[in-house]
Amino acid sequence: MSPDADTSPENTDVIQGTLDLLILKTLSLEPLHGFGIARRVEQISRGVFKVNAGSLLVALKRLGRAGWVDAGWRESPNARRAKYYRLTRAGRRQLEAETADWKRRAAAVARLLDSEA
Amino acid sequence: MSIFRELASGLRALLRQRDTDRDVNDEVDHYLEEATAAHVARGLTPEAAIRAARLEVGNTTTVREQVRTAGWEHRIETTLGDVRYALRSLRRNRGFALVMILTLSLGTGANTAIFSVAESVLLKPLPYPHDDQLVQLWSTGGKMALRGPGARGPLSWQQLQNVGALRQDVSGVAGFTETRYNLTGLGEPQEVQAALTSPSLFELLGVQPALGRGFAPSELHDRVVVLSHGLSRQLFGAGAAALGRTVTLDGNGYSVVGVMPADFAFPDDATQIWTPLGQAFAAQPEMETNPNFLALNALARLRDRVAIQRLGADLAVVAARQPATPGLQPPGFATMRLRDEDVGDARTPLLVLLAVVGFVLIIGCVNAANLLLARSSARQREFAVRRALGAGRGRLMGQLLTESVVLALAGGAMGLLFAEVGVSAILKAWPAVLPRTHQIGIDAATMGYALLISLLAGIAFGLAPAWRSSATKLDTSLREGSSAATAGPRRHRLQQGLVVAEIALALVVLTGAGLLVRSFMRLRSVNPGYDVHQVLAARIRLTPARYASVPEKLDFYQRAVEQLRRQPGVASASVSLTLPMSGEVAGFRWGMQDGDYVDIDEGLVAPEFFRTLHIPLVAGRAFTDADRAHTQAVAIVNAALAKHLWPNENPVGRMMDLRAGPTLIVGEIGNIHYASLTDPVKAEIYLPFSQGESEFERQPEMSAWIVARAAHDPLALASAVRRAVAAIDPQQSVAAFTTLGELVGRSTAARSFNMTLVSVFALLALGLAVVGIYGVMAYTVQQRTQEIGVRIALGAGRGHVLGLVLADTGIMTGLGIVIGLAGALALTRVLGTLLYDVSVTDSLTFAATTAVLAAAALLAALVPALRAARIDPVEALRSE
Repeated sequence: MSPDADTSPENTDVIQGTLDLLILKTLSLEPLHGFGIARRVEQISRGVFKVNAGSLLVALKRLGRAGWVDAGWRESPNARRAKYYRLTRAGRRQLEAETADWKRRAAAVARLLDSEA
Repeated sequence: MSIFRELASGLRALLRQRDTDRDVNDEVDHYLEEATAAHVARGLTPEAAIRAARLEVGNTTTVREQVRTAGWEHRIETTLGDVRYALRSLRRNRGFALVMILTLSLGTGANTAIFSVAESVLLKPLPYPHDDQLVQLWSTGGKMALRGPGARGPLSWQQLQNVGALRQDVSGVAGFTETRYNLTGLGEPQEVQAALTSPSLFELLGVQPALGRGFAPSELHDRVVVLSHGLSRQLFGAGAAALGRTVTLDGNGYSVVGVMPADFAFPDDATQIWTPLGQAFAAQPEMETNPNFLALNALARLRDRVAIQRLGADLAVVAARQPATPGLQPPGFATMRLRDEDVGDARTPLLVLLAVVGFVLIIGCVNAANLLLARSSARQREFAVRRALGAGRGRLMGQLLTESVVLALAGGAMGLLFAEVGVSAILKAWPAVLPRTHQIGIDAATMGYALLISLLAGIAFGLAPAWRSSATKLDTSLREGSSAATAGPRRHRLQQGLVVAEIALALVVLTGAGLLVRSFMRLRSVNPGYDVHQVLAARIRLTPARYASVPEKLDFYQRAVEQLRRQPGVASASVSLTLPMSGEVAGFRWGMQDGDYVDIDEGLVAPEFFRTLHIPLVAGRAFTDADRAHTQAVAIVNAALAKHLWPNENPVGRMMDLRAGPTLIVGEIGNIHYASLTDPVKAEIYLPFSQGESEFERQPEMSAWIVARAAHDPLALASAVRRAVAAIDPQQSVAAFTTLGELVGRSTAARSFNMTLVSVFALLALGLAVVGIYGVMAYTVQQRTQEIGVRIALGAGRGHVLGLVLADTGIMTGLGIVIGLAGALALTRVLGTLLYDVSVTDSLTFAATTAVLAAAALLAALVPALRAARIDPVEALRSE
């Protein structure tokens, strides 16, 4: 993550693995461009996760290379090029796998925290 | 799947850099735009929105860089950029680059050359499929054991069949023997080297003839031949013209059925013709019928997964079944992998050479490192600026290492050229010292090795300077007049340490070379006992068919020598059955009165032999024409034999009971070194050529040597010899013209090889060390110019300054010598087997090489020291 990320308590840094998961989930609803993904994540997490521009674009590049997202260029209203990302079928499978994994781990952490030890 | 995608995207990014960059820029711009729009939607003014968006997104350039540099291809891009930068910077500093590349090329070139030789001899398999299954066999025990412990000899035909019967161990056996033939009918008569072999030999080795075919098992007794590529080409020209033709060997016609490939050389490079063993049986029927007639070299091929030890064990069982002679050791077999037998004595010298060139390369790398350290201090500002701009230490180190590696690879490439030249020179100068010379050359493995050591060298000498340079303190370096910070004492300490290491290594190598030189000089100073100068020797083998009886043979030689004596330029001439240092010797064991015995070497010589070779006659007389076939059997002994049999008495007049009957000793000659300069003198007895009937009867194939002493140039006598022989028999070929000096040279060829190469590399090491010392001292003086200027201004004399610099060198040299001596004492023991009459810790050699190195080091420092002494204090204080 870039060193100048916001470090206020409500805007926790998002670690790389989680960022991937969030991006995949966001794109599973509809194709978006970079800023759109960041905005959606911020909105739905109610400000808990604030995504850094550089980290997001790097993550999208990586996901593209892994074959989980596809990118295409469209024209934006001001005649600028805009890169839109969408989830591929492999990406959808990956999303399911990572979601299941995350839920399993979260449950385990929760059990540990609730135990009397 | 994603690997391909990874590769493809990376490649696309590398190749379409401009497009990719444009995409990234557009995307980041669009991101910023959307962020701005979002703020506007929230109610901010356009300017406030832009400001807020920029705050949120951060520096667009940074973001662009982040995206651009993500991915594996970026590393490659960086490296390529570094390489381009390195090349540019080297082009600006041509002198520096040239010195570096030259230094490195000498080191890597030497290593590549020696590796190429060592690889062919030690690592490469023999050019036969599954060569590790090929085993050579010998017989041991019995009469063979009389020659000495571990003596081994050929097998008999019967023994070969017995080995072949071990079907569970060997898939086949083959026997062979060597001989020479007189080839006539195709131009000048010439002598050819032939191998008489089992028909299965080629199959056993796994080599097919290039043209035609090999021998069928049924052809054991047939007159068919396979020619070598060289001989076929010489006789019949290129192509398949040889097949079906007839060659006349010793008067008999042989049909050519095949031609071997150009690189086939079995049993050695000299073999020109292969023919079935039956020809040997025809000449000596005993070979086939007598189970005690040991004449065959034997080869076997082990079956898959059969260990050589198992064969050895089974052979012991076979041997036990053979009848043993009482009083002699029981018969047995010895085996060795053909591959190991081939390497022979070459292993130790080659390993020593590899170590020596390794040291030379290390010294070269030390020089390179010192040069880099010196140069990097001039680039401090450049590094500081880069660090200030955000380059991490790793990045800077990477760039510097790339520079070193580029230099090293350039050096390695040039070194390959040196190696190519070097290897051909070695093969030309010592054609007979190394086995399998036709396989030695710069091949793919050698080039790979050159690449590897260049890379390693580049990293090795580049690491320390890169580490130092990347640790630049930003604040001091960027300030004006920052030279005071550059010659840090730690950097200087490192350079000094490297020089100490150089000197130590150079001393080790020099000492090794010194020992070998001393040993070789000792060897060459050994008096062979005869005069090697101006004597020509020519070997003649008479065709058995044309000279069937012994008197005819003797008659030919005697008439040929008489003819030769009449030729102009011939001071004296004679003929002998064998010649010193020719590799041939005949001998027997003679039992004495008291049950003791002595091993005597036997020679058969005509009158004038001792005079021709200048072997001194100590007592009595030499042979004359009066000593003939049926007169009293006479003999001449050498001093060693006389001393053994009749110590302190004159041997002349005594009688010895030899094969020819009671023999009268008529003379005594001085001792000569027969087998080689290093072998001890043996007891020798000489019989007259004219009385040698029994010898010739025993070995009808034997050739004899004609020797002639020239009034001037011995090689000019070659035509005289040919004329003399042709006058007697125009159909007779003469082979192997050589001089006695050449024969002695050949016997010391291996030692000369070791000594010369190690000495060359030692001088190289010394030269590099001297250059290294000079470089470091010159740099030190230059760095301390101000300090020295101050000293002189304060009253220090020139002598004092000189002493200062030399003392600095002296300490480094002293330390280096101490370490080097310790190393030499420990390491020269590996030379033990290579030295003649010199101890591995020979004090004279150690002292001499130490003195040479110390003198060279001080000389190297002298120029910078003198320059320091002549520093003008005013100039020094003014300059930076």
